[in-house]
Amino acid sequence: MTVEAGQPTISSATHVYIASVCGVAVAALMAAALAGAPPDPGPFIALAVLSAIIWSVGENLVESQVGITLLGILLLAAAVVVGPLGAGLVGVLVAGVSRVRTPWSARVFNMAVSGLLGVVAGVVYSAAGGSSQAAALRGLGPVTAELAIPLLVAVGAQAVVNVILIAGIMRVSQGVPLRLTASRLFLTTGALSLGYAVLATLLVILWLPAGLGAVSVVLALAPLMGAQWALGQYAAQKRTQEQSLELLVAAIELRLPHLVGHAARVGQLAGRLAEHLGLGAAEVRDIERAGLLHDLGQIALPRSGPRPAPRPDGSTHAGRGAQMLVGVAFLRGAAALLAGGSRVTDRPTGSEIVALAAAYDMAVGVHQRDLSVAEFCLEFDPTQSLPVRLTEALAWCVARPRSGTST
Amino acid sequence: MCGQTEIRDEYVRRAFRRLPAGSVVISLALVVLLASIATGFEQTVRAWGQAMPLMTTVFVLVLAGAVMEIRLPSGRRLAPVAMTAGLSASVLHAIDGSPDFDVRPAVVILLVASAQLLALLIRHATPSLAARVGAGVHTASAARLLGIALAVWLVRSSIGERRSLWAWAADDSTSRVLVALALIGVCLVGLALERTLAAAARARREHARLRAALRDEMTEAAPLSLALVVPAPMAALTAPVVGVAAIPLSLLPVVLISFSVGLYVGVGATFRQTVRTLARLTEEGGYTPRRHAERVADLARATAFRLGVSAHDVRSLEFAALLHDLGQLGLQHPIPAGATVLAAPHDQQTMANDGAAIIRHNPDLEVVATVVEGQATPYRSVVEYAVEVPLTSRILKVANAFDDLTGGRRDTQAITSAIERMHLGLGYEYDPRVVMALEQVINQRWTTRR
Repeated sequence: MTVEAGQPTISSATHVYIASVCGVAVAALMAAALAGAPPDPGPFIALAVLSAIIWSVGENLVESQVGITLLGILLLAAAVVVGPLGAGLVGVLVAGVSRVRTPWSARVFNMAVSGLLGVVAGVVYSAAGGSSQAAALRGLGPVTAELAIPLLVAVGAQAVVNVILIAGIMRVSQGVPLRLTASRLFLTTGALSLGYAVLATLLVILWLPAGLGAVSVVLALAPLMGAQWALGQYAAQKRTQEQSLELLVAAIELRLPHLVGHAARVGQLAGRLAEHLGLGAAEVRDIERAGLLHDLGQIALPRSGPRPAPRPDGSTHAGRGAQMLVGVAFLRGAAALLAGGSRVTDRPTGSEIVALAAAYDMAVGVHQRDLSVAEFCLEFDPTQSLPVRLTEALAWCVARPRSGTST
Repeated sequence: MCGQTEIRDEYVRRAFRRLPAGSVVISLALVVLLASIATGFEQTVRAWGQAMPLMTTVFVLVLAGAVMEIRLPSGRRLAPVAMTAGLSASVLHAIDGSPDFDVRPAVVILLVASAQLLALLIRHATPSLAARVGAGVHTASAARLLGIALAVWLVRSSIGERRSLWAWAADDSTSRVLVALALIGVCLVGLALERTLAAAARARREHARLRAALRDEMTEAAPLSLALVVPAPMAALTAPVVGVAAIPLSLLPVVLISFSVGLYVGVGATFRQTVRTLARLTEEGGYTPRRHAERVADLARATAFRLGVSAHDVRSLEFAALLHDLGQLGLQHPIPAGATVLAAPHDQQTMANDGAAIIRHNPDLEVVATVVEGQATPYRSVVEYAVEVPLTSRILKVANAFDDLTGGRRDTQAITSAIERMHLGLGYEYDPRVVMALEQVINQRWTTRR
């Protein structure tokens, strides 16, 4: 798992964080070198070369900027075949030769993370009772107890370390809450980690007890390519799906040219409000989407002449938009928000967040009115029925535009 | 006499032409199954007694894999777990803790066939699964069985005095690397046969060209197909170390792949829903008649298959057809009945450009945008001025014009009138080859309905 390149500006806090991770990685590699014998050169070179080839093929982005790569399987297998030091060095080398264009700081960070994950896998494998003589293993029982289970424990440890490091850099560079990144990562990569452990076990069995040697990597490459292809298709479809929201927005803007840019700003502001209010990742996403599409129902309104009277059921154009989104599975949450809902606690509802963001941008962004947040809130909510937390969150978000730093 | 022979030959030719390719594949599979029952039933019963864990494992995996078949967005059916489990049983030899799996090909064929038959019964009996049983399920099962049958025959049959591939692989002195390569080759042949048969059946079912269907079948999910070649040899090579568990262990990557493909298919289906929502925007705004975009997409798809367009391009064309009127959202006043064919050429091009500009907001839909953009270009520009207009754009133009001119009606009078009007613009406005293909589609559907 790696971090993709984002905007070029990198804060000093990010540099400090990267330097700290590098320091930990170097210390781990030195400790591994002092504690054990150097890796066998033959398998080490074979693993490094094959890993570099796979790494250079590319990586599949599972969720926005956080990626998952096949390197995890090879680092796990390397932990058994060439030990913690070998696995750590393989990790450093392949992350260093990646053809993906990244700023030097991102590349160094990825090298440190990969190296650290290799060492962690090797150390945890041994600590969990992993055999150092895997070539002699025969029978399901010994293979499970001395190879498969220790590898499973190792992959679990790798996942935890990886999530901590990635969530840390996202927090430092972009201010994304730790909990948000961690939950996204565990959700998107949890099942895959288990699969990686199985693939690594298979790879080691083929390499050592079955006697195929380095050829086993080539043999194991085919299912990995299949998985990579399927994940690549998934990632591409997911990206296409997300970008299809842009199409909806563009259609709205073609019909309502005076609102160009409004939907994007509302989506962003609503998402930030939700993040600041500590809502979960899925809720934040739905609120962002609802913000983007809140004017969809206006397409059904006549272009000129008097606006139709409100319907007897009190539905608005946002409600009409919600009806138009019925049947689109990934927009179900956004449609529910557009349809509206009543608040039963003092916690603001998603619909209120979207409505507030839309009204604020309509006043300040579209009509260019010179209003402070307090003045706007007084105008928007004269009875002061909105939760104070929501209006405070608006003031916080308006005062602090999103930072432009990332790694 | 000679005349009678010619008449008979013509009759036979027509009969074969009318026979669905799926029926031929199913008949072949039945022949193989009956031959296996005749030659291997007794040994199969013995094998169940002697190698119960192995037989049960393969049976359950084939059964589960066949029940949980995946359908790709293009309509192709895949059962990766069932296929690889069957191939694993075909190539397995030494097994830790058990005697060598030395059986006739008929035993493996009967094992796989019985699991697949039970899977079909379960799918028909379970309401949630029965809804997904389409025309191609039985053919896909038959093609799978024939592919596995070929693989098992190649591995376990010996010609004359020569050793079988199985005996050669079971010999400890044989290089494991060579064994791996040989078994991969066998699985590749089995999979190729399965795909070829499936492509032939699909081409006949969708009135597509066989060459195009074969190309799609081999290339659409090539990495996925290649991935399925390896698990069976992996099972054969790891079975001497971990025993029967080698089969599920080697198949776990396939399960992972199936999971990933499931995600991909799910997101693909959601994206189609989004495109349909976009297509409805013009209907909601009162610009186009109800279901116009869907009818155009359906006609364009069928016409494209007739013309041998690849499955990938057909998908782009379908999306383009669904979104082809999006540019009308920029109009001050709707066109009567949304019929772009009646608009002035300049207005048609403006709408096409506006629609393409919206679609280009998603860079992944560049091809779709190009198709939409090209729909307003008259065919004579292609012939006289060498303007590059994709075939899919020309198909979209013809399908859209047909639906505009019929007003969505499908009675003989409306169809005849629309075709006559389109003939007036043949070679000038419309590509004659595309119009001919559309007529074939209409004739075939009209004939079927009558």
